[in-house]
Parts: sequence; structure tokens; C-alpha cells
Amino acid sequence: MREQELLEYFLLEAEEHLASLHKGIAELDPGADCEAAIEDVFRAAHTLKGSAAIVKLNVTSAIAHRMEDILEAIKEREIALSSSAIELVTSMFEAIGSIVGGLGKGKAEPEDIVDGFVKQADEFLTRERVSAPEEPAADVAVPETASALRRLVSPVQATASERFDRRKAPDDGELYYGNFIRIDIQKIETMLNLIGEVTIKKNYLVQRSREAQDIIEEITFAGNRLLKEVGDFSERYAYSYSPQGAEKHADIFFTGFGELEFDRYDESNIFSRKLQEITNDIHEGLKQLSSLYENYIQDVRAMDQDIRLLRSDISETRMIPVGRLFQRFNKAVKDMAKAHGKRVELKIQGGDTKIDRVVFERLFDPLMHIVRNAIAHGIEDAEARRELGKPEQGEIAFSATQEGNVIVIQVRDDGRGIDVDRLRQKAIKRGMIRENDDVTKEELFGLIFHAGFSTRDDVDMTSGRGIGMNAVRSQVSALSGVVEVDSEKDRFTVFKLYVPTTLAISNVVVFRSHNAEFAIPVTLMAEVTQLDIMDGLESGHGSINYRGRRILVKSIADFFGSSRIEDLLNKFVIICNISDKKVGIIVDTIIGQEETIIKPLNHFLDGLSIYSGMTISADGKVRFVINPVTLFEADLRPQFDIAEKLGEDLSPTILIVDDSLSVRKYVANFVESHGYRALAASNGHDALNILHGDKADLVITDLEMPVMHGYELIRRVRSIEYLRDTPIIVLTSRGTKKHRQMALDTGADDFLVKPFDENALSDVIARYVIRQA
Amino acid sequence: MKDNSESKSSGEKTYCVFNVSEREFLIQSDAVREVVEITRIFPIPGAPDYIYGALPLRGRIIPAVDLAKIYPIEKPSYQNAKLLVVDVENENIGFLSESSPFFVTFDSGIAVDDLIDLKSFFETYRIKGAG
Repeated sequence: MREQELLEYFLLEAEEHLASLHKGIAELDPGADCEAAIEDVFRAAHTLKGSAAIVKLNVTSAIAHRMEDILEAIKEREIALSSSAIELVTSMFEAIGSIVGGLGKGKAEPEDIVDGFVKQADEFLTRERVSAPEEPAADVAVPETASALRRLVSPVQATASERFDRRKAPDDGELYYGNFIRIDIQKIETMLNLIGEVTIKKNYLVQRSREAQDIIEEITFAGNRLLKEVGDFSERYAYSYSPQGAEKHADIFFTGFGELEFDRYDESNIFSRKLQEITNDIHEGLKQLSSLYENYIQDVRAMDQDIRLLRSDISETRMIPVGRLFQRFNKAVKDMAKAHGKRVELKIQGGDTKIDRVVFERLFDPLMHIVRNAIAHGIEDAEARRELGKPEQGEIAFSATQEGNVIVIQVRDDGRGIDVDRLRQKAIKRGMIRENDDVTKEELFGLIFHAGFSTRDDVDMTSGRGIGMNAVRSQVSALSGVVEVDSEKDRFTVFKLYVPTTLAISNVVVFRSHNAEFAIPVTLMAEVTQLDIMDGLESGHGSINYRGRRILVKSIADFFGSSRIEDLLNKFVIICNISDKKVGIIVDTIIGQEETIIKPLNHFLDGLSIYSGMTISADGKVRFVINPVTLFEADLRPQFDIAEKLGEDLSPTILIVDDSLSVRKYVANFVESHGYRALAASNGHDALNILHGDKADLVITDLEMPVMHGYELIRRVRSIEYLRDTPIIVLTSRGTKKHRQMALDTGADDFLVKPFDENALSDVIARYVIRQA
Repeated sequence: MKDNSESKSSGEKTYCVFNVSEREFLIQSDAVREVVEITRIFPIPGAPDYIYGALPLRGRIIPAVDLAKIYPIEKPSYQNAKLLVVDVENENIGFLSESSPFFVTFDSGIAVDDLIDLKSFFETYRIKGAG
């Protein structure tokens, strides 16, 4: 157990050393003055060697040791910083990286690689030293190959640098010994989760105390009325001066006294006085309650303040400078530029801006997509650049700035930019806009985020066909962020990502729809409006006027395939930013705005991509966090120009819709073996997406599926003009007459029951596909 | 269909038994995390019908699986149902059980019917992404 624990600490540490190695190696450049980088790499290799040896990772330690030897020789100017030296160091770095990666997954060190590296390094050092102009310093022993194996088993010997290290330690020693300690990131996560729970409870408490205040006010009002009524009553009845002299209670005892010598107390007098006393007590109690409540509210406010401070402090521990994320692209940019035969330089600005580690991790993929696109399509080759009068070396610049709770990350390349006219032509050709449509430049740029839309016609290894940009938008949106693009032809393209600095606590608007509660991050919202009768919306999806432009709207119920005609009057519309444009989500009621923790979706529910997570309200309700990008995905797909597809594959196409992978595979194999082309979708929603992009000659669908069931799919297909005539066969395990009748009524052409007879299926297919042809 | 390969020569094996209507299911006992009363459960819009809902449990959200929608079982009564929460693939999911689950121990040589292999169950019934 102890060893395992040690290993975990090592892995924690190794990540950091690998990062500095990565950064340092990227800066190494033959012929340039890069002493600082050499020093960094040397130190990282040295420390790594030492810590690996402690946890008995002899392979890692031996490789790091050789790396250290080489760097030391370079540092002492015994050998030159040649490109072959950098290559060797890089290969060693990569080997260590992959070993450490493997260790993290529970793999053992690969022992067979060590000899190669040791030999390579030793030979390299011997060779270079001989060719070096100066003699090696006497106190540096040339490592012998034979000793390498001994080093594998014995603790790593101290090198000359160890002394150096001790000398140097006080300078930056406090990083390790002074005011700093290492904390497992898991610990911080746990604390953040707890503080999140506390925040939610606190918010609930605040909400409850508002209710308490209402009650107090009501009681106080009633109390005051009581006081007044009783007061009035007392004035009349507390003392009875009854001049009428109707003394019913004349006591024998009083008979000797004159009438005016006594106050007369009858029962109503006594009752009235008691009433007054009690009322005074109540009044006093209410006054105390009021002041108690005021103090209580002040305490809650003070606690609220403390919790906020605590939260921001803990969140801060999880924040890391965004520059470290950018650094990771150094090598990727170099490699990709090389692969494309281009020269590209990476520039970084604002790397000190801090960002939540979780956001950081999840930004890597989208940024990688953008960088890939920039190198593959954005930056021109040297010749084209020269003709345009640009420097031959292209530039990709990363920058980050913080604006309140949002961090703005920009990736800018000085390549060919986006050709607006070409984009417009393409959009017209694709049927996304019409010739005379008034479309702004921004709206046109937004089109590049659509699946299947790219301004490049060719497809290459690293960047596909616009699919990447669609994924970027979806991933950024899942981070409660927005991505925008701007460009000028032949000058630049810039992507701006607006993401929250932290995901520990999110501000969400909670709403009700489709008999469930949902949440949407405030960062994705523009505003909330009310649906106007003038919008003329007749079903749960369509478009409305918003600030002079048409925007798409959709109700949650409609998305889930509720075919009920909704009462759309007085419904609310949450206007959302989805990177390139605005869309509106129609909801039943808005519950309010609150702070909450968005929990990632349980992996069992991964495929429910319209949710970016779930939250639990203070009173224990589960709410689903909507990702507006995926909610509108189906509507945002371009409608391909069908003519463009002709000539690609003329065999009839069959779309198979079933939530069971095995059924999809089975039926696909079956139809393919009969000479048809097969497409597959796991639910009605995906099927519609495919049908929007690809022509199918026949649809085979299951009835019961998640997200959108078969009936709804049939209904939708039948309501879309250019899909209306597509034959639909239902293939289901629900064989009852009722289902059959309902399917046929909805618009299915045929009905087969699983398990199906292969001959029957092929007959049915032949019937409909031939009819089509 | 049922996988009993894990019953090696270790002597005895313990399983957790739960039931849906008249049918009993077994799972390996070491995967059981806890059994909870179902007080509130929230339907998940868009999820397949075998996912009965989501249950909040100490800050986590557990999807509850209704096996009656997967196996041919008569309509169960989940009036006093329990949720059997299990660990699988670094996640937690729950199975609805009509009565309180209990543990049984068999000789490892005995072939067990209706044993749910959690890993393959998870993979088969996990909601997959588009494509």
C-alpha cells in the first residue's frame, strides 16, 4: 500500500516535471542563446531522476539520468547544442512521458527500452565530446556502458550536479520546504464539492428566512390590529362607569357604602383588562421576535459573506495559469506545421491569467481543433505568403484576458482568413440561405460551426470536413461557454472563446417544462422574454422575431416529441447565445435564478447529449442542465443540395433507426449484403439529423427509442416536405395490433415484428425501394 | 448467456439477490454499494423507458434501472421499492427491487441463473452518443 501511495506522489510530481521538460525542450534551438531553457530541462531531468529512483522506477530514472548527462555536457559547453542532441533529448522525454502515462494506468515500466537509450546516450556523448573543440572537464566521468546496468539496480549515483543542486536549493527551495505544500487535486475537488453543497444549503436558508420574514410581517400586522381593537374595546369596557346604574352584581358586602365609593367590575370589565394584558405581552413578544429576526438575518448575511470568501479561496487553489495550457500546443504546432510543410510560430500572451483546472482540461480539445484548422487551412504555404507580402513564417497567437467571471481566450492566425463571398455562395448552394437574404457578416461566419460545413472542399488527415467546428461549439457550450469567430480575408482569422473562469459554482436559471425542472447556465443566456401572440407561432418549434431578426425557437416539450398541441400563449422564451447566433427555448414557467453545482452526467446517461450535466436543488430536486447547442442541433444542420450528392454512390440508401447497436449492425449487414447502402441512427432525433444531410430511399425504424421515439420520427418525416415521400418500415418487438394500427395511422408504410424473417424483410425492402426507383 | 466464468475453485461465492415482480436477479455481492429507500425519484426526459428516473443520493445522482422494461416481466409494483445501488465502471447505477435485497452464498460450482454481469450490462444499456 505504501509503495502505491509513493507512486501516486511520484505521478503527481512527474506531471509537473514533464511539463517543464516539455516547455524547456520546445525552447531549445541550435545556434540560439537558450541557456535558461537548457538549465530548466537539466533541472527537471535531474529532479525526475532522483524521484524516480526513490520509488524504484529504474527505467525512468536511468533515462532521466542520461538526459541529465547530456544536458549537463551541453550546459558546461563540452558538447554543442546540436539538432541531433535535441532530437535525442526529445525522444527520451517522449519515452518518459509514455512510461509515466502508463504508470498512471497501472502499467509497469517497460524494461526493454532502457538499454537502447543508455547506449544511445553514451555513444552520443563519447562521439560529441571527441568532436567538441574543447577537452571535457576532468571531473566529469564519461559514463561507461557497462555501469548502466548496475545503475539500474543500485540507487542512482550522485552526479556532479547534485552538489550544484544543493548549492542552488535555497533560491527556490521554499517551493518545497517553506510555505508551500502539495495537495492532491482530489482533496480540493472534495472541498469544492462540500463548499458547493454548503452554498446551496445557505441559499435555501436565505430563501427560507425570507418566508419567515413574510410570516413575521403577517403576524405583526395581525398583532397590531389586535392591539388596536383591544385598546378600543378596553376604553369602553375596562372600567364601567355605567351611569344607568344597573348593578346586577351588587354584593351584600358593599351595601354599606355609597355607590360612588367603588369602581364597578363586571365580567366584561375583567375580560377586557385581561385581554389587554395578553395583547401587550404578544406585542412585546413580537417586538422581540422582530429584532431577533433582524439579528439573525445579519448573521446569515455575515455567514454568506464568509462562505463566498471561503469558496473563492478554495476555488483559487484549483486555478492554474492558462499559459500552461497554451504551452501544450508548442509541440503540436511544430509537428503539424512540419506535416503540412509550413512554418508556423506560436505566440502566447496573457498566460498568467488563471483558470479553473477543470475548464482548462476541457478546453484542450476544442483549442486543438482550432489550431489544427488554422495550420491546415488557415496559414498559407511560404510561397503564397510571399506573394501576399506577408512574412514567410505564419503565426498563431494565443491570448487570454479576464472579464469579470469570464475568461476570453483568443486564437488568432495570420493566414488566408475566411472568404465571406465564397461562404455566402456556399451557404446558398447548400440551401441554408437564399440569394436575397439579408445576412450579416457575423451570421455568415457563424455557419462554419455547422456540421458538414467547411469552406475547404478537400479532406485531409488532421482536419475533417467542418465537423470539428461543430464539435468545438458543442464542447464549449457544455462548458457554459460561447465561441465566436471573426476574420478578414487574407489577413487573419480569430476565434474567441468566452468561458467561465470556474465551474465550481454556476449561476443558472431554473425553469419548468414538460413536467420536469431544468436549468440553463446564465452565461449562455441573453434574456428572457414572453411569447407574443404577434409571433404567430403555431407549433412547438419555428421562428420568431427577436430584435428585428428571425431566430429559431423550440419548446422543450416539442424536443421530447410531445405531439400535444401546446398552449403557447404567455409562455416564456429564454433567448440563448449559441456561438454564432441566438435561439429561443420555450418554457412553461421560470422558477428563478440560483447558484448551484453542475454535476457531470452519469456515464450511464452519456448519450443524452442535450444535457451538459445535472444539479440537485437545495430541497433535493434533480434538475437537468440543458445544452442549447445540442437542443437545436437538428435544426441547425444544413440541408445539403441533393444534386451535389449525385454520382457519389448510386446504390439505394436505407436508414436504420434502432436504439440497439446489435440490431443496427445486424440489419445494416443484412441490407448491405443485398446491395444497399446502409446508414444508422440510434433514435429519431439522430435519424432526422441524418435525413437532413443525406438522402435515404427507405427508413427502417424501431418504435421505442430514447430521445425521440419511432412514432414521432414518422410524424416528423411525414411533415417535412422533401422527406414526405420516403417509405418507412417499422421493425419492432411490439407486435400488438394496437401498435401496428397506430404506426400505420401515423404514416408507416409497413410493419414487421422482431425477431424478423430475413426473407420477409428483403421482400418488403425490395417492394419499396423498387417503387422509388 | 449468463456468465459464470468467475466462479473458480474458491469454494463459495456470495451474491446479492433482488426481485422485480416474480423474477429474481443476482449480482456479484462486492459490487453492492448500498440499498436505499426510494422517497423521491425524478423522471429523466429523453431517457429510454428502462431508466425509471434519477435519484439524488448525498449529492450524487443515481440513474435507476427498471428491469421490467428489459426482461419480459409482468408489471411490477414499485410501491415500497428499494434501490440497489452498485458500483460499475467507476459509476453508480441503481436497480429497482420490489422487496429488500438480500445476500446468498452458493458453492462456486453451482451455475447461477439470472446473474447480471454488471460490466456488460452497463455497456449494453448505457445511453450512447449519436453516431
